[in-house]
Amino acid sequence: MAFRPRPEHELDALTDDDLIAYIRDARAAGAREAARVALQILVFAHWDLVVARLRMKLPAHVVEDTAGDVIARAITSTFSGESVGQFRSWLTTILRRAIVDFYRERERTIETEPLVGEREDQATVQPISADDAGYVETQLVIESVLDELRDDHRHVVEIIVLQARSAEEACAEVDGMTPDNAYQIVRRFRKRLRDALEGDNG
Amino acid sequence: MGDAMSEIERLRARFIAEFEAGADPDPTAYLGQLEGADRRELEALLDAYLAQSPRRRFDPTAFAASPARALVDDLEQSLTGVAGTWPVLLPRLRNAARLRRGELVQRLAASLGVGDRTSKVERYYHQMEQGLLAPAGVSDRVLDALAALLHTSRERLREAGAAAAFGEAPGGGALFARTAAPGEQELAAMASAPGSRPEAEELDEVDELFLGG
Repeated sequence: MAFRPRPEHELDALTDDDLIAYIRDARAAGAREAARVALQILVFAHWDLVVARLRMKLPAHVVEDTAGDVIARAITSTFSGESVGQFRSWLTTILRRAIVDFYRERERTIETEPLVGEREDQATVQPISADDAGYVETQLVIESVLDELRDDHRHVVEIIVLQARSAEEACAEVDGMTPDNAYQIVRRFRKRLRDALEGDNG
Repeated sequence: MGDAMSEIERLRARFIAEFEAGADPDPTAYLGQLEGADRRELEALLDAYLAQSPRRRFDPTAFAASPARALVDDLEQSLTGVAGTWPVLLPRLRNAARLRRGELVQRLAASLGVGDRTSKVERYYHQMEQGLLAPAGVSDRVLDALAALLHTSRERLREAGAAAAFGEAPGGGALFARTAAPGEQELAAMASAPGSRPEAEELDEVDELFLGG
């Protein structure tokens, strides 16, 4: 079927994976400008999210460069068929790997020479655990706590806590859920998360 | 604990409201208002939110002023070139190491023992950043020297260079191109290509380092 360039607002409404498929089709059809527009939308869509997540983990002076590397690796590996699952999850996998790599490299390099620019950033990103890298895989802790929940309770937590939507929306999407129940589920989740984080901290 | 939870909730709600209004809130400013387990809990909640929150709607004006724009340019080079994500990775590592390209090239040439042929090293390094040089041809010696200057590892550079690119076949059709070690004829052709300059018979140690694998 012939490739049909789509307007920006239509592309913006596509899922990440559909956007990637569109870029692939556009390039295969030689429609470079169409591919570029879609690539712009995909990169811009995730830039702030990735930067904000990295800011919590890395020294400020490496955040933007690392964000570029993470997004580029996620996109190129998706094109090559090396990615696993949906783009968003794959992006998180690459992001975690980049953080671990950074601290591994820093440990290796710091033995021979301090990184330029490192000193002024040390006050802003503090190690938040006693592990060797100062890096705690907080999302893994959240996932393990989520995994303890039954499906309907997990869905409620995802809607209210992770997606920052209202209890009313959770009740509308989960059969038989009431605002009181939703509140109790979220409260128990937060307490369990807190316990898990404190346990993780030794 | 109730007070701590409400403070965490207050900061979390403020961060999300700012983020969803299209601002660029710095999460470390929020985390800095808490300590210990409170801080860890807020960090976990913000990270989980950012992992699932709706992506940014496209805004051409914001995009034009964003570092995302330069990334798109570099990504296009990666996707059309033969060097994986080198066009994205190398300039960023160089930037993080606070090195101008000329300075990096000088140090690289000196480290390789070819300090008298800096301009040739510069041409090859330029091709690496542009995604025009096949990674398989670049020797471990070059990558080790580069890794030391850029505070990374040879393995990371190899991995980035090996990333498949969305190249174009000579006939114009698109394909996924994976880099491979060049043959002798290719090697001579690359060395004599515009931008590389030397005639095939003039191949020297620098050509070997960047083309010979």
